[in-house]
Amino acid sequence: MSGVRREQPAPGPAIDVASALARADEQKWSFRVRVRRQDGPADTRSRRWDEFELPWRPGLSVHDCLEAIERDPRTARGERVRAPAWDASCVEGRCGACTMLVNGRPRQACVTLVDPLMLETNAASLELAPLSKFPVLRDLVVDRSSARAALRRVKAWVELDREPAEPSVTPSRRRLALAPTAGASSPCIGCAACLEACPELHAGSLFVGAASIHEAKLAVDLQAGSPAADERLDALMGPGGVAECGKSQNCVEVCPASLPLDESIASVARAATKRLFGRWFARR
Amino acid sequence: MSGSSARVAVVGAGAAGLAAALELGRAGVSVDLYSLLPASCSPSACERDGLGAAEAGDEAAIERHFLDTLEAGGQLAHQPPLRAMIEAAPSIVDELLRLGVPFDRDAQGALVRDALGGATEARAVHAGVHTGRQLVRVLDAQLLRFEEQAARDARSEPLLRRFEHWEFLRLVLDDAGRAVGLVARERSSARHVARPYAAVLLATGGAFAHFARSTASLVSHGSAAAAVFRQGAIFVHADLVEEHPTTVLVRGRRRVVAELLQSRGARLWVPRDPSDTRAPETVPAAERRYLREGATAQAGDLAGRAELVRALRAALDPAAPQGGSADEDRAFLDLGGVAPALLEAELGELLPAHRQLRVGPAVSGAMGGLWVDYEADERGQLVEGSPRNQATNIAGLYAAGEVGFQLHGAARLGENALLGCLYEGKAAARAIVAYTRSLAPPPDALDASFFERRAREADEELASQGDGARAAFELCEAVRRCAQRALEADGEPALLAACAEQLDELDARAREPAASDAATEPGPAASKLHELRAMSLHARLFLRARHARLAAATAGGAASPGAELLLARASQSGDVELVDAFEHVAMGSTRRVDRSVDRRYTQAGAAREGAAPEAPPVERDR
Repeated sequence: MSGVRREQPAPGPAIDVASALARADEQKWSFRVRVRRQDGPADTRSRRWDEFELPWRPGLSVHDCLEAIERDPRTARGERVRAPAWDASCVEGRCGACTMLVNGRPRQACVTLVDPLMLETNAASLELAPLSKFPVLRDLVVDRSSARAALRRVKAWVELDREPAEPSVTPSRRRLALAPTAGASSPCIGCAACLEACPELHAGSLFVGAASIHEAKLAVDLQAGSPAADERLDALMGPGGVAECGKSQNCVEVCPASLPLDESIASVARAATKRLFGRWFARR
Repeated sequence: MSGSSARVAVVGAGAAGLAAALELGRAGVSVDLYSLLPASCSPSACERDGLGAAEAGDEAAIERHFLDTLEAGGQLAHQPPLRAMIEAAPSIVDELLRLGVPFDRDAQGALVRDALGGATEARAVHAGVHTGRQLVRVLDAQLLRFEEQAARDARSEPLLRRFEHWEFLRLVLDDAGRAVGLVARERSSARHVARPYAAVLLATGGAFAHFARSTASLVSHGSAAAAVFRQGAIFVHADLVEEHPTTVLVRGRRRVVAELLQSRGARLWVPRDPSDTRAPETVPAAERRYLREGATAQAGDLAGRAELVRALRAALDPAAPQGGSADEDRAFLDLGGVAPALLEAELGELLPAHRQLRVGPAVSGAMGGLWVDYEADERGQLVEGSPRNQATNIAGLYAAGEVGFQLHGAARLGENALLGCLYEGKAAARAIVAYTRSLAPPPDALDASFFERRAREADEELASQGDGARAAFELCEAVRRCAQRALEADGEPALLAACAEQLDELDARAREPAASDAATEPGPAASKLHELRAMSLHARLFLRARHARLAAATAGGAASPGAELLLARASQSGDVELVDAFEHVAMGSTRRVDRSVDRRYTQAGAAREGAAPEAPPVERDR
């Protein structure tokens, strides 16, 4: 994953993780969790790392680690600190609230298990940081409302007042309904992992990102051929639109709902090109 | 800050809150939407099962949906609002379709309808196992437009403002006891703000995190409901919870397995011999008792949740430790007949290779909640758009969705969960539009300093209470274990009394002044404590109500007519007190609300049939 920023993992206790895990319950051992801290919105001067030491047990998730820290917020050096703040709701991988950078990669803390992560780095330590492309509110909590601003820019909603009067006979809806994948797959859960992982999204870039293009595509499909759909395509062709996608595929790699984000972007790009040619020929 | 406002506060961004915000925005009312987390993280968004709705215009099917719901809820639902919800269901589904919810369709393009537990026919529409996610997604997208539109009353403010990561702390009441604003805490800065509002709508969901064995999300602690209860709101049926028969234990937490699977081929069974501990795949079919196939069952007939939960609890291992460990689950879902794509979507890596999934019951919703009013005629028809609909007993405070109580009764049909939230959200929005128009001129006696004072009071009170996070966690677990034991001690007064005593003691500990320096630290510790106090209150409410219902049952057999609702309010000392009636001032006139359930709709129907015997009576399917 070239586009995802990777922090240097914390050194942690010097043990061989693979053999420690193989011994499983035989021996008690502990590991370290480094947590990025910030006391309040825009309070960048309070940014720091706190390191906690936790006893290992099998099947721990990152969320479990944060709960254990919350119970007894004492650093590895024995200093009592404010418990780290993080968002969590369903704790079963459905809601996306707890998306954060775990060892530099956007993941959902509740379904990310500690053991495979430590095996990957062979270090008895983890590093937790807030998503880097959103303003930090406190510790691991970020304000993801810029993702909604992107959805506003591409008008990712169905405009009921511009619908034909009898919706059940709309040909586009019938087409969508007959697609075998229609209701089976998960829709976007709004976790913003795709935006975090996107190399084109950085300070100063206008790119709306994969999630909003995907949502806009769904709305375009539903209202195909209508003026509302055309306006949406125009928005997607403009600055920050589909043309800015660098096709890194990072979004597809990190999406917890396995959305076909690359296909959505390609499909919108095709429709946009078609519309561009249509307009060009109409003018001549 | 001006002392009066035409804005309305909606607290909670799940199905009910979003539906209400959308309806208010369409009516041109400006809304502030408060939520702990973005809408996409709400429990509504994680809801798997779909919405029950008759085909538009099919009167017989509407009647069956109505009767199924009454039956499942033990006839404890108020009929006028329930009837209105059932009649609104077809148009709600139609609107969701138009907004872009991809409900499942067959090869001909017709909606696929499933029979969920307790339904006598297949009428629930689903978007795979992501119905909640899809409808939250499309409602949330509709609200994007309002964020851009200028509000009509103030050109600089958008029609909809979002306050995400904000926590509702309490109402601001004027001298007449009317809700004129709220105090909220911004979680990131721990800042308290009091803001004026023309009306406040609570759509904060059900409170059921106070049970050890529950599928509650981390935001289902009911702190908003607890706060308004302490300020005088009446609570109904605190003892009634929804239990989902098929939940599975994943890394120490319970999650629901969609009921949809059972409509699409999964079969629920327990070993015929309760002491049978063999691996499920080795138990031959003849030694399995399939729970939804019996003398009374018809093809496609699924038993109600409550019956199933009773059967499953009887099948639990009594020797196993309490608190929801997997070992005590002795029921299995045979998933052999379910389409692999659906299994993959619902279970993923949880799917065992032998397709026998170990499941057990757990609390999955609150049936009790804040008392809400409605206006109906003598035939039991709801008066649509009345400012009394969805109004609590505190003027200016409305409630919608699972935070309320009125639609379901003792137990809820799975297909009515999201439906009830959407219906009540819309109904509350219409009522609030009527209510705010009745406020002429708007309340303007209160100046900014009044609200600043309210915020300061909240600051002082919260700073003075309780210990830090560690004690909160321990108390929280004790409360959860205690409430769970009381839930399972059905019919054992001695055990209930012991639980009540333990809870009182825990509650007293939760209210003790700070014992450590952690309490002066703002942030998560304060929020945790706020949640703990709420869970502790809900647990005590549950216990008081449970005890009262049990006492009534042993004294007089079945609940006597006219005394079926269990009404609770906060006493002067802050304790829980059960009442037989209360005075309610609605839109200027005072009424006495007692414990009776409103059955005017079926009574009027019986009268109609008596007067016109040629009309064919509606028959149940079973």
